[in-house]
Amino acid sequence: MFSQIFILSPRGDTIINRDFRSDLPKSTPETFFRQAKTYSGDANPLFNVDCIQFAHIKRGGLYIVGTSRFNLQPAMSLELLDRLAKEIKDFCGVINEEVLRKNFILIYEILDESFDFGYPQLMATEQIKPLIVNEPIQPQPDSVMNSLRPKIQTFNIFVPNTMGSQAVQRSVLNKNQANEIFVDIYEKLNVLFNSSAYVINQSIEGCIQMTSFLQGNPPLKLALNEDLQIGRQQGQYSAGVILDDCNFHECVNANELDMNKTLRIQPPDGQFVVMNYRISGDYAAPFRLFPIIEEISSSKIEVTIKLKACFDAKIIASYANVRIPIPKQTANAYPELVKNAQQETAEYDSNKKIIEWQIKKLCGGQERSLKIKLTLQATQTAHTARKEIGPIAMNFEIPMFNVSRLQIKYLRIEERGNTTNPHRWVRYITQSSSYVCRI
Amino acid sequence: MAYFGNNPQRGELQELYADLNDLNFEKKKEAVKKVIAYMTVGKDVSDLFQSVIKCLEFNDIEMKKLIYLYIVNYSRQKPDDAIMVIQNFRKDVRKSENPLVRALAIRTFGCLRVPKLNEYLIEPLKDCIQDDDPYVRKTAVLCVPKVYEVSPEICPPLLELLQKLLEKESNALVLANLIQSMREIEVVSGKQIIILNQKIIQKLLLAVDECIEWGQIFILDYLATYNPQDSKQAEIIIERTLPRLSHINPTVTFCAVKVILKYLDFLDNGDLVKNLCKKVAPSLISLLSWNQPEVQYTILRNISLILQKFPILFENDVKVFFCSFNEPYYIKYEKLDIMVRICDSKNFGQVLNELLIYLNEADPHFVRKTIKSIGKIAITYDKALDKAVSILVEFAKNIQQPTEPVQELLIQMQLIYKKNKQMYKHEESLKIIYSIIDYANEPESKSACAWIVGEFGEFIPKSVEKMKEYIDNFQMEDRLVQLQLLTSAVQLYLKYPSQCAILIQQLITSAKDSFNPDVRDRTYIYWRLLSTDPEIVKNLVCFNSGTFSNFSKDLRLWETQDLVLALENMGNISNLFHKLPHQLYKNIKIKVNNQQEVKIYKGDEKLESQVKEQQDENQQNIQKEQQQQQDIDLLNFDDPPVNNNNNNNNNNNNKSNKTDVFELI
Repeated sequence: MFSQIFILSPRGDTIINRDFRSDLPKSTPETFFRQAKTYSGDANPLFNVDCIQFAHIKRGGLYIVGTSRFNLQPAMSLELLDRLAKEIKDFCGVINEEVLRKNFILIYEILDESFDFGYPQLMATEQIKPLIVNEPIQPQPDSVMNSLRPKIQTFNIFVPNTMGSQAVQRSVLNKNQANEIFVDIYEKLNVLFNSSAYVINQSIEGCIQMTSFLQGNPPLKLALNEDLQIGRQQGQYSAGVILDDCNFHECVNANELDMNKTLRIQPPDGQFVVMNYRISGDYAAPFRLFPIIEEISSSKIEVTIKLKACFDAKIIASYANVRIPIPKQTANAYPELVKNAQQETAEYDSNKKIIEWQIKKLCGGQERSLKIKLTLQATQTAHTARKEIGPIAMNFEIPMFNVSRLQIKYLRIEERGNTTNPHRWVRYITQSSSYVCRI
Repeated sequence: MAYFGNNPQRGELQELYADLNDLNFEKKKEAVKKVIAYMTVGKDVSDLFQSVIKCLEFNDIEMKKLIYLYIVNYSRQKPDDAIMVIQNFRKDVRKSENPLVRALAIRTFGCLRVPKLNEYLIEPLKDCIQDDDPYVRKTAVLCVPKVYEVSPEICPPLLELLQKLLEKESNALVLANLIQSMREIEVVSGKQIIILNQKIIQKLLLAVDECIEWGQIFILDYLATYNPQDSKQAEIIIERTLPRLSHINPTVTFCAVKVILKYLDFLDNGDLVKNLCKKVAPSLISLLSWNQPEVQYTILRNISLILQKFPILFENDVKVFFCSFNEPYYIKYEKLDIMVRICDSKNFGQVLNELLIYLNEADPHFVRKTIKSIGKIAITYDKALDKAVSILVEFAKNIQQPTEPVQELLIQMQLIYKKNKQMYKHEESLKIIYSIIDYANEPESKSACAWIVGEFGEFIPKSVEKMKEYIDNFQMEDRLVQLQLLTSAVQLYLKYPSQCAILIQQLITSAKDSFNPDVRDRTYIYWRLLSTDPEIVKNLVCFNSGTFSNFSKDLRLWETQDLVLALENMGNISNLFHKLPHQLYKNIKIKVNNQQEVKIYKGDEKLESQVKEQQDENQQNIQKEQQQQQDIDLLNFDDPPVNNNNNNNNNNNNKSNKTDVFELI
């Protein structure tokens, strides 16, 4: 297990250093920083120097590092560090150098409750809250440091780019907060088309995420679709929503899920993932791409790409970007949008040999198209070069829409005491994970 | 920011000293905070030890926490001063009403790590282990390995207490800590400490349900090392573990998988085993889709290990391992590797079609790995051979530059030809491969080319010219290429004795003075052999096929006896490197496992092919042995084998031809 946990500033200064086992030299932070700097770009999350195992994550520009000389579980050690970061964020509101330096005593307290002898102990914010005596010191909002604060990363794989949530950047210790809960349903789509727009492989990775600011953490009841089914039998087709597999947060009691499709939740403070699910079955892909490649002459190729949004007209994709790799031997490329194209751009990156087609807003049912005229260098003929076009990859986000049709029927607070009815915010977001069309 | 100033100068220390001894409580507290801040950045404030611990007399928990932090850090430097704290600790443990204070004291006490202080610790620790409050118990339990590490001789009474606690403890978190600390003592001492019985196992299984996730990991991890008494018990444990498969924490899920896979060995019921496999596979697949790439990587590394024991697991799920375009390359490489492992007589078409598409990727290194994978499939699965070669040949047709993938292509084609010489006819593969032979620029690929020219000299136009080209540059080549060139040139010479006579002469002249002993030796051997009897050389250098040891062995990561140990360490870092723990860490001792038989779980169809493969392997081994026998004979110059003489008579012409050549040198 962990021997030490330390937090280093981007310049390598020690901000926090807790030694649990005293079995490693005191100079490990320097060893770590020296090694981490040898990587171009970000350092590997795990590396080994002289039989010392270093695991680290980077949050708000800071290195959160755990060391060990044991045969530890890499997935677990990274998860632990991430939990630690989450705890610190829950207590302090944000993670950055200034806040951590101001609150270092609080962080030592958190560390001591979270780990003993390097073994993880209580690592949930609401579990350790009663054991912590220090109050967080908030940084001055108008200080220079604050405006330079690096963008805070979240560990969640779902990072909505367009919709900011009020739920972030708030300390759970803040007593005067609104009584409210946020529920997000994220779905990430993996689709692989062949050149005739036929789907070769598709899947959905989804999760229901909550951010709770409910006072007194009352138990919740969450109801999902009635036609929900978990586990897929081979060759079975059903009209309902079938999840291939799913998993739940500790606070969720899923015993009634099979019977009446409800989850009982004892919500912790702050952000947590209620459930993850995975769907491998067929679904209607929200976008379809139709690429057409024509060889105009031995040195000229014309590529036409049609993009069709196959969802309800009321729904608007907040952005849709298409990336088209073109042959290495391209001498020049001219992407042409249709006339009067609005909120659309197409650019040719001559270094990477990529055409970037960006659409700002796209309503359901609409069609867009792009024509690219390629001129090749003399060394290659159009016939061999056309093979180098593609695969076309898409990036998009569609708010208030989900492909799986998984829905939240209701979210009830089971024992409503004298408090007012809390606000409940539900949103659906669909994003691309790997949305690719081969040519 | 004030806490993090410059070095504590003498003046600063004095200031702190004054503040610490101030009568104002708040001022003292601020001073202690400053001391901790200095300590954190690695500045020596040990001189203030006495003043700091004097502040312990206040009954303020925040102050206590700070001072304990300080004591832990400096106790080993000032063991004599640390003794002064003992009374305070004992008072806290014994007298305090607040379980937080008791736990805090015992936790800090354990971290002192000063041998002579530990004797004072035993009694309070005993009290804490039997404390009424579970929070204190869980802390005390973890304190035992801390003490054991420093002074094991005083620990036996504590260990007894732990075992007693194991029998009666009901709090899940305490149980988890208990198991973990006893396991650690087992590792340190090499003795068995935990004594299990039916009741305790029952209790552990119950605790898994109630425990926080990390506790679940401790318990499951321990259960994975336990050997159940019978099939019934194994079944119960598996049944209890199954719900953990849908835990959100990937490590819990993975530990559950580990437990289930381990206990499958002990089940009698074959259908049950199959059913369980069907339950485990989706969980593993889910782990791949929900997590960030780093975690995915660890899972993938372990899947390739699991597959060695459970080829049955992902029979129908090969699609899961298809690479998507935006994954990091380290994930893609692992997936390629797994695809090759899962490939069987049913799905090889699907796999090869997918690999075919990867050949269009931009990254040359990835394409190279893809080609290697296709080559591996071709060599390992006879049924896939034709299709795989077609793909490679098709790829070769479009090559115009000496890129990295081309090198791999040449190497793989050489291996394929070696395994099955008849493949040269397939879709004119030889002609196409020969057309790109000039693009070889790495030692391995060059030597592959040299091999192809020598082996297929009679089917290649202008092979002698090609060889001459190679030999002209002989001195510049890598040792590997030089060795292969020697053999290939001799092969070619045997095929075209008259055309190659001068060539071989030139080669021997330049090679016999090589600085490399290997090259020199081989030159002399061939020279001697050629001047004695070319027919022997023919036997030596021109085989038909079957000189390779079994290729499918390459796919095996571990010898079967190591597999058990490796599976027990599933998820650990050693497996990430595909090594056994003691190979990676010097401080880990291994318990030597009895050489037990390892069950391999295969699908029905696989079983047949495997058996066949094994037969093939045996045959090949036999052939190989024969070959080796021959080799030994042939290299024995003093005492030429009998058949030599017979050959001599039959091949007089040849011989005379050849002697002429060597007289020229």
